[in-house]
Amino acid sequence: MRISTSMLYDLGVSSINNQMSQLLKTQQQVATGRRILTPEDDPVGAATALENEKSLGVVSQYVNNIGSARSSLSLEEAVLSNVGQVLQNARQDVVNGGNPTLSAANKTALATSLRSAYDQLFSLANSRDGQGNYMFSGFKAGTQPFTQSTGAGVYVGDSGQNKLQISASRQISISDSGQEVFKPGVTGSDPFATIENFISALNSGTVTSANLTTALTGIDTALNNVLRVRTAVGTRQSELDSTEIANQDSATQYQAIISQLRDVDYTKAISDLTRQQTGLQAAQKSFVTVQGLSLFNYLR
Amino acid sequence: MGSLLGIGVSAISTAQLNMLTTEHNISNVNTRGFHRQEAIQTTNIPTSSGAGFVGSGSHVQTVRRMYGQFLDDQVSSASAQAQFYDTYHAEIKQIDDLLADPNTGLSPAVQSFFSSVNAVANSPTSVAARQSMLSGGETLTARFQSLFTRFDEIRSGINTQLDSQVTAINSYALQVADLNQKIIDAQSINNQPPNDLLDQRDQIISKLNDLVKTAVVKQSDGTYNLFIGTGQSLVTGTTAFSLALQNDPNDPSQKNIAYAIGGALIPIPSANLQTGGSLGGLLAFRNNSLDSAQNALGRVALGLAQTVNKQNQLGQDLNGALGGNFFAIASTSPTIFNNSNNTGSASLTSSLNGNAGTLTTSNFQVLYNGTNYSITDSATNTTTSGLTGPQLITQLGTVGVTLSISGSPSAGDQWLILPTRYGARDISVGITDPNKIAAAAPIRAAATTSNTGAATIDLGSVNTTSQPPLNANIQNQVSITFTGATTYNVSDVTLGSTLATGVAYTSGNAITYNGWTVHITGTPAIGDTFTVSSNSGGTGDNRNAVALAALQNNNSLANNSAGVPTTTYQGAYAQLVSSVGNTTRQMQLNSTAQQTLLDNATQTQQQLSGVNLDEEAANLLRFQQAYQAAAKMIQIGSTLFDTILAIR
Repeated sequence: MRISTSMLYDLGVSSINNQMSQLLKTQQQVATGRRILTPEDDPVGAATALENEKSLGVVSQYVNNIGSARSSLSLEEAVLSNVGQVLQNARQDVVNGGNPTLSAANKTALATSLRSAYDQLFSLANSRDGQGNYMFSGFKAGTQPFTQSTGAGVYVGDSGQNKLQISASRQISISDSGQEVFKPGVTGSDPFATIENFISALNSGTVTSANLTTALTGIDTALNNVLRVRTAVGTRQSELDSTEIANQDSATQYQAIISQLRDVDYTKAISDLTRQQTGLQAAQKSFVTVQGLSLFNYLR
Repeated sequence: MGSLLGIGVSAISTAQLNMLTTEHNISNVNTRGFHRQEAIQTTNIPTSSGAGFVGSGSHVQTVRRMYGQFLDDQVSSASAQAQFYDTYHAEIKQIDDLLADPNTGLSPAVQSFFSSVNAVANSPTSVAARQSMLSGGETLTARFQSLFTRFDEIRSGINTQLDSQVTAINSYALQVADLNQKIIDAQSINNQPPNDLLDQRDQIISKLNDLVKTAVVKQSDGTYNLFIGTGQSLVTGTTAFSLALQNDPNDPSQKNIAYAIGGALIPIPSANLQTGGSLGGLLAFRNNSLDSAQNALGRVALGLAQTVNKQNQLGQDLNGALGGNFFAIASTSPTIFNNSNNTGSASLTSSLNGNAGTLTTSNFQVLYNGTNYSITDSATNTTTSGLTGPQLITQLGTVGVTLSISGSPSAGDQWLILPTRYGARDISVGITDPNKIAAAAPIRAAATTSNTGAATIDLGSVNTTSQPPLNANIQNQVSITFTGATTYNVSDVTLGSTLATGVAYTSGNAITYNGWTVHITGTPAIGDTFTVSSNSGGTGDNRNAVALAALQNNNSLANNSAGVPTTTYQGAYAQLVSSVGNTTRQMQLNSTAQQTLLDNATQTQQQLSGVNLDEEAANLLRFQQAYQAAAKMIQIGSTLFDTILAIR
């Protein structure tokens, strides 16, 4: 069989080229840490990795949203806790105000104390968050939710309640409207009206037992209502915790899938690299050897 | 005695010719397309004598090139295929590389845009968050545009390459026609094969064949007729046809191959040239991969812009106005190209109908035959014929395009409709005022404080079927008043009109009027009233922003036959990556396989036609010795002659 000299040369060079391009590819895989350098290397894997990256991005966003929801809810929780405290203090004042042996000066002092509770409550109901938005005005973030009308609370916010997406199927409420928390204008539940009425009784000098009962019932109703909202907030907070764990688990899984699809297996890559290096060296050495063989070397 | 010298001379000249041929072989060892030559040596006619026939030496009958038609054909056929796949692979690899890069790919930009949407949902009143959503949108559209630019460069790069290839083909065709003439001339001198001219011609044909698959038909006078592609004549005898580029009459963005005959251009359908060679590879890549890949990218862009716009239009912005478009889509999506040969007065114009899920990755070729229209889907290559104008409009409506036809077409008029090709270029962020992001819903629902029943109403939501545009009355104040435990009346307070009376109440059922839906649950008391009204002052409301953020995870593209979207934006992009990756891989494998075939065919061909230097060295020795022996013969002859002369 005739082997043409130029073919011998061409084949030698092309096999060196092939070895070299394989070596280069493995080297790039090792250098970048990526198994799939371009989708050509594994089209299905590349597309699957993209899909998983999207899912990872979405889940990471849910984790971010949970962080944001948590900070809104803990702020609300802190305010509600203060509201509870103020109402407890007011209740104590009311109980003291029911004592028939109180002097006028004592009554005035209690009335002052209750006025201060009233003001605190009013200010808490008009709390703002870190961005200056009213916390209890529903959707009307820029509108002060509570005003007063002859002592009773008047709510000018709305019943809006914001939600955030914390998993693919779950949106969680991150606020409660002032209507829901303080029940302004609802007879027997409005803490503003209840306190205001009892202050009037104290100021008038005579506190009837009816006054006392109405005030205590009213404050207890308000306290229970605040407690109810606080419980709901607490429940949401614990749901955030469990959802966050679930989301983080998903994120870890997506990351594992992406890494498995896309990242290079270093053990295999390094061993490939060594094997291909040996192959290339062999090709180069044999090429030189074969090219050195020529009958003309012996013609003198 | 004389014949003794004569034989010696013939032997010397035979050996000389043999040596010349060997040296020619050696000197052409690296000449591409060279076929090894062999001097065919034969005996001279013997002299008849009483003692029988006495040999009278040798002569070289002819110098033959070692050429096997079949072997050379195999090489050229393998080579044309290898070039085809190589070129296709080199082109599509550019897209593959483009889509692959984790930094320049589309996915990270989509992700970061939706992160900024979520930031608005988290703080709807924050101008900083809103501003970052605008920037996120701008980054996203810039990414789409830069990808588009690369696609466009690849498309115009094909035009440039076609141009230089056509020039090369024309030059080769002329050279072959010229060599045909030279070969006729050379053969007529001594009726011997002009081996090196033949090699030259074969070599040029092999270069031509690498550009476009070429079939050779050998004529009796030694000339070759050449046919390219599926049988388009290129060279006939000593005449070469000339090719030229012309603008595709359907699609001015690309050029096609045509015959240039006497100043007129006769187009060659590109399908006829996709049989092999790098020109074929370019055309096949453009027809089979580039269009669909560019369309797929455009579809993601348009789909995303349309769905985000729709959702933004369902909301209310920070200024309290109803939402508008977030993204702007230029009117060149879709684009309609009129065929440059159209003679009728018909004008076709189009717009997107807003139904993102129905967009496809196809182009549509519309033809009017004098009575009705036919439409061909480029991706599936299916044609629907016999359509009236309104039927054509309906047909295009199913692929997301609103078409209108004015004027009257002439028979043979054609239009190319490209719904998505320019989508990635044509989208931009349409607003500059961050307040115009519609994070809030336009309505609120509330129970009246004085209600005595236990029923509650939810916040209400905007209907997404058949909206946008929003119902004109959506922000009207509407009262739902219970006239009994299980019946209610609905009235539009703003218009002072009654919407419904005596509606049966079921706890938790949807109550839908004026484009919104609310749910009332629990037991109401008679006289209890619920109101749905405009969300005035609702700056803290994030309901629509949450819905905008959810779009990332919603299937909104690529409707199935039931009209249900099957994939997300990033899913559609992943499909594009997978499809381009698959084709690139396939072309790479084909190219490697074809290269192996080519190597094998070349090896086989070289076994016959190749030059081996060792063999030539041995031949040199052989013919040198023959020469030396012949010289000795002459010397002996001369000595003998001297012997005769010495006789006195």
